[in-house]
Amino acid sequence: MATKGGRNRNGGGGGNHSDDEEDDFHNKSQQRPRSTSRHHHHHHRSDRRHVQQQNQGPQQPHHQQQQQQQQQHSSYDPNKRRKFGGGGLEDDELTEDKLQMALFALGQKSDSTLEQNLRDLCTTLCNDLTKHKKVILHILNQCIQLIPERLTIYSTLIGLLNASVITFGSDFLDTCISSLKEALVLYKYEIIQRYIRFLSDLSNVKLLSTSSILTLYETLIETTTETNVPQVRTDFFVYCVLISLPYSGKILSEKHNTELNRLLYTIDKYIYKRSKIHVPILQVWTSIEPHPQEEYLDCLWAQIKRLNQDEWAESQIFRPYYTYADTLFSDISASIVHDLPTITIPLHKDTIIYPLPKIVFRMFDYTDVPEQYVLPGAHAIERYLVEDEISNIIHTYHNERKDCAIQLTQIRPKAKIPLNYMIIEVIFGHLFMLPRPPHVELFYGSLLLELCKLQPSTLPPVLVQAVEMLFERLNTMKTSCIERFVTWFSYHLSNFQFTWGWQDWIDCLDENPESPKIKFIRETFQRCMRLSFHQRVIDFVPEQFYKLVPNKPSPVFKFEETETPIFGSEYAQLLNKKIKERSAAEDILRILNTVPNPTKDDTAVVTPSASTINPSTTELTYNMVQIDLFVSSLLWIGSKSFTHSFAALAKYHQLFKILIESEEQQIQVLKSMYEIWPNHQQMMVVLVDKLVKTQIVECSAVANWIFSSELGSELTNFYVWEILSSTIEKMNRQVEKHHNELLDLRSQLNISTTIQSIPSSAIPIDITPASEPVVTSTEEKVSDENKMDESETPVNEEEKPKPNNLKRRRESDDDEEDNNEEQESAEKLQTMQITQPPMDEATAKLHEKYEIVEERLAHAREQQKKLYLIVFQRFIMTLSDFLNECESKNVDPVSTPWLKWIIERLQEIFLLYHEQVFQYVSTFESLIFTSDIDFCILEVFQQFCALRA
Amino acid sequence: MSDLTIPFLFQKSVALSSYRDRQFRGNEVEQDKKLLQSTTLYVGNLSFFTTEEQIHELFSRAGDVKRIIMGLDKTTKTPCGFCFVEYYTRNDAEQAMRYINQTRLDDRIIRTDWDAGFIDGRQFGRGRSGGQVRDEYRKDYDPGRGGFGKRFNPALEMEKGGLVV
Repeated sequence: MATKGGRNRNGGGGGNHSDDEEDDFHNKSQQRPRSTSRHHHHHHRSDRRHVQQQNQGPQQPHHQQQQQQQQQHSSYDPNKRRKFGGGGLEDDELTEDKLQMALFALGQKSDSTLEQNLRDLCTTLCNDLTKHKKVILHILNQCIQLIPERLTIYSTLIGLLNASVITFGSDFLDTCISSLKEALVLYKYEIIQRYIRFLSDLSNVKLLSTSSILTLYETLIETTTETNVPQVRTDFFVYCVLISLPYSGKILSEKHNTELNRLLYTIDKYIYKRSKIHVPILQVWTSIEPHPQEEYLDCLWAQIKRLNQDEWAESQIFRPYYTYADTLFSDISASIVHDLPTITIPLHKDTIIYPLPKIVFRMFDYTDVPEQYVLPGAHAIERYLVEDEISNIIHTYHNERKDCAIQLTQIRPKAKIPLNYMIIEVIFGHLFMLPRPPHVELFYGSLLLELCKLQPSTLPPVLVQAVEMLFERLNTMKTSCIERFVTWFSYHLSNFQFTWGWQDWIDCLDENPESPKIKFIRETFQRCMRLSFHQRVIDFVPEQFYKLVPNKPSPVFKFEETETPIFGSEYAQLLNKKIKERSAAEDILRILNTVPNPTKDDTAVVTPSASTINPSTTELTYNMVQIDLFVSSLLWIGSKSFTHSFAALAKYHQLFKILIESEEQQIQVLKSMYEIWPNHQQMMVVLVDKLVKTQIVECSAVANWIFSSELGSELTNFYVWEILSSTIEKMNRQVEKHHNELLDLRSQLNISTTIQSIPSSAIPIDITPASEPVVTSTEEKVSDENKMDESETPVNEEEKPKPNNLKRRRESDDDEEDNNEEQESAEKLQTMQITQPPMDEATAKLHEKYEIVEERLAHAREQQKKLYLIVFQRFIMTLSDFLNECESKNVDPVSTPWLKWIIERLQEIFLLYHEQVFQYVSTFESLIFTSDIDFCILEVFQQFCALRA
Repeated sequence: MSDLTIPFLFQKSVALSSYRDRQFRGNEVEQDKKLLQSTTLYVGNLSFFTTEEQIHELFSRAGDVKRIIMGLDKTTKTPCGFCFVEYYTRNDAEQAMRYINQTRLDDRIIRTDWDAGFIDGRQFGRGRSGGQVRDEYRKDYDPGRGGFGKRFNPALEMEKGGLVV
């Protein structure tokens, strides 16, 4: 049973998706061991995997398991659904499927049938319990781990089972506790929280003794007495207790009031002494008006204190167990009350990364909602409980936007709570969450569309009101959040024919053109244009707003447009002709070689970190005019579309490799691009992406270009940062790719080195944060195609080929990448499939490969560190220059929008890439964030450091 | 947050549809296998005027786009209302299936579906008139897709009194 992986069967949920029955039919061959390779780490059904995980311990990153899993089940695909009950399944499996469906669906629809459903399910489970005990316990545990929003329904069911079957309680607790213990060892924070809250609720159904819940809380709270541990560690365990108290507070206060008060006193002391340095960097608004952006523990503690004063009376938690008082609470009840075994909290280790602190996002208060509603106050427990339910549903259903919207609208909040306002508030809270939203930004946009569709008359007005309020608060909104707001808003408008009451914003048009409101409108128009076209924007924008509409995104070819021809025009004409004729690279090079070399004074391009040119190759170095002529002509000829531009770059890729070597030359490529496309931001974004991916330009050159004087006036425009982020992300992915390869080899070596063991010193213990158990974001997934490391293309190191023996080695960069990839994976396969030769030989090969990859990783990490150093250094230079200028002009820098835009971008880089930056934090601290820099810059660094303190 | 998901839920939006490319070279099992590992999407119901740039803007919100291949009318070599979007990773392609399918681009509800991977020649419409087959006999007037169906004669229908524009 354990490896049959039946949970994917009938994936459509209730069989309501019959559109692919056909392919189900064709896939009998796939009915073999399978488990969801993407999510398997949460479903510990495979015994083999179970063992694997235990062996690997908390250091084990999950992607390695995934890789192994994928290798083992290479033909398996998690998306394959099979027809329920078809294909000669055994009875056992059928039951398991049915059980799983029934248990997962329990309480999914809030209606009156729940009471009967619970009783029926209890009866069914009792009948099956002897035969399918293991399966039932397993599925119940899955429900607890995966569906937190229905936890009280499951605790009721389990309470009923405990009252009916004498052995059930202890069996169930055993599974629960072992899952919890495993989650603790692996630091699976979400699961730990869910179990602790669930166990708390079991005291309400007389399965667990209140005294043992109290003991559990005391164990968790004891972490507050630990010394030399980061605050984030203690925060997590205290948070576990706080989120559980709304469920258990009442019963604990009735039975153990003294002990409970002692516990609350300890928490109070802890909350009071916590450091709050990290708060400003996480807040969505820099102002506390109109709503304070409270620290999450502070806020929840205030809510719990209020709940305690109200004698733990709350009206929001749905507690179906009270319906079964006869069965659960009467004197004749057969329930056995159990005690929890001792649970120990694993000690702190420096390699463990704890959840980051958060702030509580609030944008509405009771004055914002219609009179018939009452929005719970900021410190009312109901506010937290409804928010928590909304968050849980969003999280559970985030893969299915339609289901997600349906589930959200089915929430039944108690008395007069304005559900739509709270849903909107939570969704924006997630979208604006710093450092990153929990899910891809696009999801929140598509969810809002579904909600509008489901409730066309009630939801859109609330959303409009929310947008108006967010707009009014733009002045103090963080730049990252304004950008997400723009990205979402343009997307939303494009789904509603760009209909918006722009006239309402007419008052702000007189503001400083760099002010947040103007910037917001300008950037929104820009994004709307990217989703539609220039004329469409002109059509929907009122005339008064025309000055904010972006220019038509046409190319500018300076060699043609100037009235008096500029130097090089005749060469440009010739080049254009040749490129149009698809001439060979040699011909182009021949023309470029005839361009006279202007004196150095004319072309001197000063970049602070321009790399020195190797003296021996000086005579082969191409000057800036030659590069400019080539790049300008090429991009001009390819200007018709992305595809045309990419094709042009691909066709002359080899020529780029000959022309472009130094960073100065790379920056010239970017400058020429900017001169052609100053009006087409999206084109620049995709072109830089392509130039980096094809290794024509290095990441560090992009960073230096962005902070160069030529781009100075663009620095407050959002697309510049889009380019920088995408560049940094490519660098990070490169490192991660090598890192994963290394981990992969490491595990292979572990397997094949039963005789020989590799020296432990060869295994870097702390390679990247990805080696930590908590980094599980899907964004971390590596794109194998993204090669930009020189070590992958030895061309760079080679002597430059002479023009006449120049061969076009690459038709297109993508092909090249693919070939590389194929070669490499073939190599990989070879190394893996060796089973025939003696073990030592295979192992030796693996060792060899290991060393190569290790070296590549070290190189990539060096590059990565260098990139961050350049970025931070240039930030400090740019900001310091500005501050000095302000001082000399006697201007208060804080009053300028410029400082806001730039300093908050610095914050953004820290936050977005905190995993990477933290690895080099000591270098940055000693080299650049030193006490001699302005405090407003240093402050950002200190707040960042506090995130893990 | 970690990616905890109810297993039976997470497949609906990314499951295969009933459509199968009849010109696929290989049997249906091979085709399905390819579709299930694919990082390429077919995108349909586009306006003929929708550009690669617009498609890139929308689809890059789901992940890093590797390339876009515009569907072209095989006689006029102009866009004819479909394209292929290829991602670097399966996960990004799945995000597009989840969050872009059945939403709007250029005021049209677009449709995404898995594609077994682009091969040269597939960028051209397969209708006899050069465009997509679905535009051959289409009876509604769709200004975004060249008006009436190419092989549908509205004047003739009008005479019969059967057409309401």
